[in-house]
Amino acid sequence: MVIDQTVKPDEKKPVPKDLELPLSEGEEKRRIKFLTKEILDRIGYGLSSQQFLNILFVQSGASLFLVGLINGLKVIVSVIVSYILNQVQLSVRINRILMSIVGLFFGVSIFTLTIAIHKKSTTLFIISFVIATIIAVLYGTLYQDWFRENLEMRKRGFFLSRISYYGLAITGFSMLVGAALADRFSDSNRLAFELFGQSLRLAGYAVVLIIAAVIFMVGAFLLLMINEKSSKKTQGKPIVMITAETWKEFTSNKVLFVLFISSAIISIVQTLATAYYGIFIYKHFSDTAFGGFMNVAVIFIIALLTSIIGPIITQFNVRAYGKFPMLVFGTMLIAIGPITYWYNPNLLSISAAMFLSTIGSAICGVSFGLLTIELIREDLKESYTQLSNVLTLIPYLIFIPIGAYIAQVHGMSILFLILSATLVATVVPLYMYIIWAYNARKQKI
Amino acid sequence: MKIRLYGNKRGLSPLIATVILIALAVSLGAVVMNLSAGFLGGNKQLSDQKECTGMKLIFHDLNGPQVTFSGAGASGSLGFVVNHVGTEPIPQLRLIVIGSKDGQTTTFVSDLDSSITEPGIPLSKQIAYDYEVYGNPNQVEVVPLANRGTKKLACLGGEAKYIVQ
Repeated sequence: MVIDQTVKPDEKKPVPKDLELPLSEGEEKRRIKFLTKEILDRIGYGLSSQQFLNILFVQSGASLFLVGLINGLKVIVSVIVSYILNQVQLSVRINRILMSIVGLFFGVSIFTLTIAIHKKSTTLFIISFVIATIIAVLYGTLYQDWFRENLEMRKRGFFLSRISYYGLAITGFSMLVGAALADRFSDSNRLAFELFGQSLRLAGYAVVLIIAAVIFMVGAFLLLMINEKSSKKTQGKPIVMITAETWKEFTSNKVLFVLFISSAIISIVQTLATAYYGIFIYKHFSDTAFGGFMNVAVIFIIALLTSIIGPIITQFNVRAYGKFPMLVFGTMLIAIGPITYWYNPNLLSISAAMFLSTIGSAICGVSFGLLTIELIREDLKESYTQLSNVLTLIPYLIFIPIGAYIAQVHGMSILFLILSATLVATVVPLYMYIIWAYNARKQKI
Repeated sequence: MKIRLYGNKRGLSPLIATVILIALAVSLGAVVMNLSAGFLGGNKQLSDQKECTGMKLIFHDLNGPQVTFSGAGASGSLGFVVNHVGTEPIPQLRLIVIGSKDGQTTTFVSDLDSSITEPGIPLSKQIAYDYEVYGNPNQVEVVPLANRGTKKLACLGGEAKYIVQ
């Protein structure tokens, strides 16, 4: 997906029905507009799924090396843009206008991506993709802030307050529709129709991406129609700076440092694996089961829906087993994903592996969050998050090209094997070290 | 009365918990990695073999599939043109002809020499076929053969199939 859609473990819980505030007629209309915009966005994410884009990028002539690079670049650009955004404060009014313009540009960038794939131009694809990523981060961050300011939790109603959950179902469903269209109207069996007296023949994927682009543009336009809450100007979030104190805390705390290294390795492994999963499924199972794009959609919907239950499972088990043992467990579960693609690539085993791998990611995510709360002073928490995000860019710049090169020269299967082996051989021992170091630190205190 | 789910307040030691969870993860991994796709039906699970991925044959279509029978008796022959529509090169092909002779079903199997097939390049072959021994052909299959170590692996599911009318 251009914007990753997962349920964040720290997301606020929906408000119970009896605590919801009554809405005036105007407020009800605003809520409906917000809801429509959210639904449109989720449909757009499903149609322009990252997995589909990766497959189409390869089909348009890109090498596997380039696919790996562009997926790594996406993460790097996202981190840089969110860091810059954090340093710039924007008033709410500017946010709203900017958001609509940014949203429109996002739709345009999806449209140029479609042209790039259609014309088989890798250069245009890369440029459009980077622009789309920058815009996606801008759009996502600004919109979320504005949404929070303009529709308080107790006025969101049942559906909107649970949109992160229902949104996944909408995204999943639109992924299925997109895959069905892309499979039904392949390059050799294009959809023929007439528009303004001209007969056009478009491949299914082009239709899907054009619909996504239009949906994003309509969503952005809808923002202009939502009246702002009041004339009162609220200030944005405070600027978070990486201070010398944070750096000192980071370098002096061994547990924190090792935790950072292991989380960086997990993050790189997941970025590389996710970059190639869709292409692998598409390439190897185009004649099996649902065929082509549909197999990819089905498997990624399993992962999408699993991300809902993952955090719930984790929260129960963290209490019983402890955070560090759960980190080891989560890492091992993540490693099951890539190794299954290497050892026994069939749709059933891959689906089950994706299920476990997603639960593993959730376990690691929740445990990391809980550990950060425990290990870092409250006032340094945000600053530490910024610091670790920025520092992660260094290993990204080194290891993503290496991983992409392995995929290109030795094939995706070998890369999957190496990724799993990396997790088991480096991250698990690191956690064992943390368990030892953490216990030693506790005893010292 | 309050029932406590976790009786021991102190809980597990981190090391024991880690060992238990590693064992659980390894067993889950072993189960998942050995799941097969048999439920998907037909021979398709066999084409999911790792070595067979990207191997798919079809008979070349030129006013019908390009399978021809010529000659008679012991000097008969069978010709075909196959297209490789997969993505990986096929090391060798196997020809299987199911025939009938005097009411009995016969099977002719031949692993073809010099039959390395590259994706997108049609391969044409003419094979000797003894009508006196194998009778009239009812079905012709060309199956991709992959290598697994020193063994040959028939990639069923990726074969080209022709039923004689």
